Amino acid sequence: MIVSTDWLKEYIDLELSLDEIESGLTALGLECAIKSKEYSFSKVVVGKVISADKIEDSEHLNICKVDVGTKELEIVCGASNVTSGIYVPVAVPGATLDNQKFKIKKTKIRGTISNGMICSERELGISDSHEGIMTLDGELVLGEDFSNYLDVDGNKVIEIDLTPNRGDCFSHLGVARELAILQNSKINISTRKFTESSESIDDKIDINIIDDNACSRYACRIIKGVKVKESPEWLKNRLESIGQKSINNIVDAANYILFDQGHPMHVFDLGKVDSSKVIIKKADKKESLLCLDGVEREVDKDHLLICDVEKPIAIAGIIGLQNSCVDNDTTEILIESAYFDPVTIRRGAKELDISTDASKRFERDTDINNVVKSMDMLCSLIEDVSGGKILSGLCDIYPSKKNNNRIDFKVDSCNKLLGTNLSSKDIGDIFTKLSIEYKQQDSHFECIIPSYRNDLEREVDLHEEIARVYGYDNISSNLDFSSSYSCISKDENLIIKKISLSLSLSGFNEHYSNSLLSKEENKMFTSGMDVEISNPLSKDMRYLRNSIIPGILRGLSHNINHGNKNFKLFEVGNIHKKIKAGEEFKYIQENHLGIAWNCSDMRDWKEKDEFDLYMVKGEIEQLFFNLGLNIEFKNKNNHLNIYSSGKSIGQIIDTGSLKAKFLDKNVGIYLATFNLDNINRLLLSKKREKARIPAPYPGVERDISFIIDKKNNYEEIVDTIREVSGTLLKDVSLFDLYEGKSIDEDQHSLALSFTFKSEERTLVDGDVDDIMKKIINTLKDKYNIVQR
Amino acid sequence: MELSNKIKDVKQQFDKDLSNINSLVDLEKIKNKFLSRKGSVSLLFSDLANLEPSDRPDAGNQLNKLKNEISDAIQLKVKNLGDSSDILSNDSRDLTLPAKKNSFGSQHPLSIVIDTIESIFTKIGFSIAYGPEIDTDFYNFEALNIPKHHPARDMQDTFYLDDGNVLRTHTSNSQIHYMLDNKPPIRIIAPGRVYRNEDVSVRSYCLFHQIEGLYVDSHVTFADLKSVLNYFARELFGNDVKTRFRPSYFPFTEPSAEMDVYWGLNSESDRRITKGTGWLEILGCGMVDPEVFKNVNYNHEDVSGYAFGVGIERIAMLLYGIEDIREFYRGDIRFTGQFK
Repeated sequence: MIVSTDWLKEYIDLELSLDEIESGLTALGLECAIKSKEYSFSKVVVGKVISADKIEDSEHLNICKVDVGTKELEIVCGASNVTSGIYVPVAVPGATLDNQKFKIKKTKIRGTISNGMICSERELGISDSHEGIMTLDGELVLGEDFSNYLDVDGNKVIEIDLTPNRGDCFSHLGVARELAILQNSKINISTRKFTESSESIDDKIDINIIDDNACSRYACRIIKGVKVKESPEWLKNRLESIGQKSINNIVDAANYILFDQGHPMHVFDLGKVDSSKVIIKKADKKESLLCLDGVEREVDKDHLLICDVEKPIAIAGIIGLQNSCVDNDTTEILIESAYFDPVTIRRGAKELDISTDASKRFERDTDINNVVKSMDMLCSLIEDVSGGKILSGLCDIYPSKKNNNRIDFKVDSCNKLLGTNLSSKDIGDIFTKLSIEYKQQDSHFECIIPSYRNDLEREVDLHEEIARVYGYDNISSNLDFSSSYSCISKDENLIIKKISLSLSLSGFNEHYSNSLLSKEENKMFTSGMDVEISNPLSKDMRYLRNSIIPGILRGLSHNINHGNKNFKLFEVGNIHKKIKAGEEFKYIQENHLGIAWNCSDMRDWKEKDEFDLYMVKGEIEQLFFNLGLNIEFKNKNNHLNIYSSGKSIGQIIDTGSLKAKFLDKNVGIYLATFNLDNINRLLLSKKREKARIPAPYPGVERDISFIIDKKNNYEEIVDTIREVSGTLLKDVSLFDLYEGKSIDEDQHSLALSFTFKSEERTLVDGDVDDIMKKIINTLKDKYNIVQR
Repeated sequence: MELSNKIKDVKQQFDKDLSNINSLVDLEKIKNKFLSRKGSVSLLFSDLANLEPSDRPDAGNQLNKLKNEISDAIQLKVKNLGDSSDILSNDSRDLTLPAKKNSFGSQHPLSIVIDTIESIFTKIGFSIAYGPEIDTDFYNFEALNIPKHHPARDMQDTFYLDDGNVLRTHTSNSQIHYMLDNKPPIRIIAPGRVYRNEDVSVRSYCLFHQIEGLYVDSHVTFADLKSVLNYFARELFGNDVKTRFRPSYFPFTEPSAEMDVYWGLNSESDRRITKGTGWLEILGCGMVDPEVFKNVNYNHEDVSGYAFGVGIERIAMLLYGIEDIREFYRGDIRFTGQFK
């Protein structure tokens, strides 16, 4: 919301500086910033004409010496009013006028060099006046930026970011009330008067409120013989100063009172209201209405309408209809001032997807006691700006009078909540500033809340009032910090930190992706039903992710497309699934880890091996070793599943099908995904293990190398070996795999190294020879190996 | 051979070997050759046993002298080699060849900021809790005193699922979950991802991260809230940070406040991000509204509490001078890889 200081001065004598207003209102909860006015010029400074001499051979040109503080400039000026001794705005070389369209340079005029330009008001875009150059008065500093000169004492515009609870501040009156709190002064009450004609409103209009929940007060007056025309300058300027366009005198007057009092009213052309009857009711049926702004809007049974006997004439509190609007031929007007229920208006406006100055105010609640006062102010203003006679009397349908809120207030509870030490007197003073009336008994107050403060309903609301007027910054910080041990609970998700740290230290870059996906992305891993957003931003962001992989793929392709090579990404995040549980649906949230490798182009003099799946397996083993979990890989449906303690915790994904769709380049990309909830459960259930002291007996190593059919997988071979070798075999490792020359195509050569160790004694060759024999025989029998 | 001759031989051999030494590595070999358990000097000592007992003391003295000479000479050589400072001078490798290429990993700036903030609060006894990203209207709005058609719903554009559930618009839903599951005293922070139905632009994204804070006990005051948040600001921005608290509005706190830090007006960008005031909003906070306590079945006569919410992206943008929020979600490793 925008207010202007000139306008505020109608209500309050401003004693505060602009800075004090800005920080003071902000400290009261009206966060604001003084907007500096924007001018169409730049680098125009204040100068003083030292001398002005006619240029020979010219009729009206003068060569002037102008002091601009730092130096004296010679400037050619054609204005008749230029003379020595006057202060003028000077556009020095480098200055711009007319929003940078016109640049001031050193130029030659009639053979004389001119170092700038002395400006008229029109040239500066301040007014239309171009009768000579602008002359300045007051105390002036030569060389000062001219915009500062214009800003001194001028009207200032304050932009306020109003919170939804402070509907009472949605007007100049409301802001003035807050300023009065700051200045500890009173606001001036408006004394607008008007004359009522002899003709009475009786029988001229009939009001019928059908929905009195939505409209608990409806008042109106009639003015005859108005003349719709352009508004007077002062009114136009006022509205323009807060960014409002002038329309005509009647509409402008209603807008003026809206921004002045905060109470929205509507003006109907009485001639267009059938049978002079006004009915306030919910819409009977779905229908399309042509609104004042020329837009057709469809209302339904929830919408509150203002109707005559024939038709709707306004959507109550939101926008008027064209069928009853004031136009140039209007002579008789009906002024409506009403109190509408905030929720009804809000719901209506929301459904119509419209927000008007009126609806914004009704939504935040208005002052029911201001209904007639605002209307009378509007009548008085219309009388001023358009003439006409105001029929005597008014209609005011107000079936059940609303009482001001009453709140009991205890000083102790207030101090207890705020951590302050305020006395009853302090409290009383603050209530007085807030125009809250009270009866006091020791430290107990019975408060009567002004009708414009609909937001104050409970004692705790008054605690906030006390705090903000006392000043949040005046409440001292309390440096004691004690807490009960029972507040401390365990973070069961520390695993995320460990993983993130472990991966980032091992060369992985952490990625955060948008968790809203397209249908195509969400279909990559169909498990359960999609979690679909009914009001998505776009169809690309319609589903909440059901896998961490699509987001990682986005990261992969962004990096690849931007020429980044050889990188590894990981992301930790929640994924969601919708599942059917009996008759109901429920959502499952799981914390997942996704990892991507793109290391196909690792050209380095020290890195001869191509990056492959086995390196991926190694890095995964490394990660889980860091976490303290043993893992196993098991092949299943082209995915390599990863298990720990018999539980599935993740998988390396077959990228074949995915890559083609989502990535341009296919080579050397590996993806893995893990369910961190499962991993976390395993970690939490893990008992602390006793330390193992290594046995002092040295181990014996033996190598064998043999040719075997490729169809036998490694895991199976090792299982076979372990089966026959007993407990002395501690470790089997593969130190070479060879295929090619001198070996059949469907065979390869494996070279294994065995480590044997006993916990009880030093092994002798004999112990190991027997086992080796057994191993070799078994391998020969089972796999038909040929030892090399 | 006489022992004395053997000693002479060993000494000669040692002097010869030593004169050829140019590196500490080689010196270590010499040291082993002569002084180790099976070295030449030690072997001579074992010969002592073969001598007549009367000759042994004299022979022992000679051997000890030899041992001392050798170890002194080695000590001296160590010094000399050290002084010449290039121990590897005899090395024929090109030491300027590059290191094996490594991939250097990184944590995401948002993770770094979340960790930083978590540790600031866990240091003073806050525990960490979590709330779900898909939640019911009750947890995200109603229980937080935001009834349907409340103007505050406009403050947060919401993504809805077809069954009326929402993607949480703030981490404040964690407050309700935690309070319903636990009894006071409560002191938690709850980090997490939240969603807003807002067009993606330089300053806003359809999702972001928050950290919620909640403290409920028998006598928590607004002054307590100020102190803990001042502590937070000092930890995050440094000891000389200036803060201010100003009234604001959140339906689930009363009184409500926002904390600003003084950012300064030293540059055009300062002016822009502080709207010319020099002050920058950091977080929203307040005393837990009695309505909220009612909704989680706490007796608001018995307990009071404060709550606060910090926007992670906003803090990260301030700390690292990032202008475009979308950078966080593009995942370009040249961007994410620079934060430590």
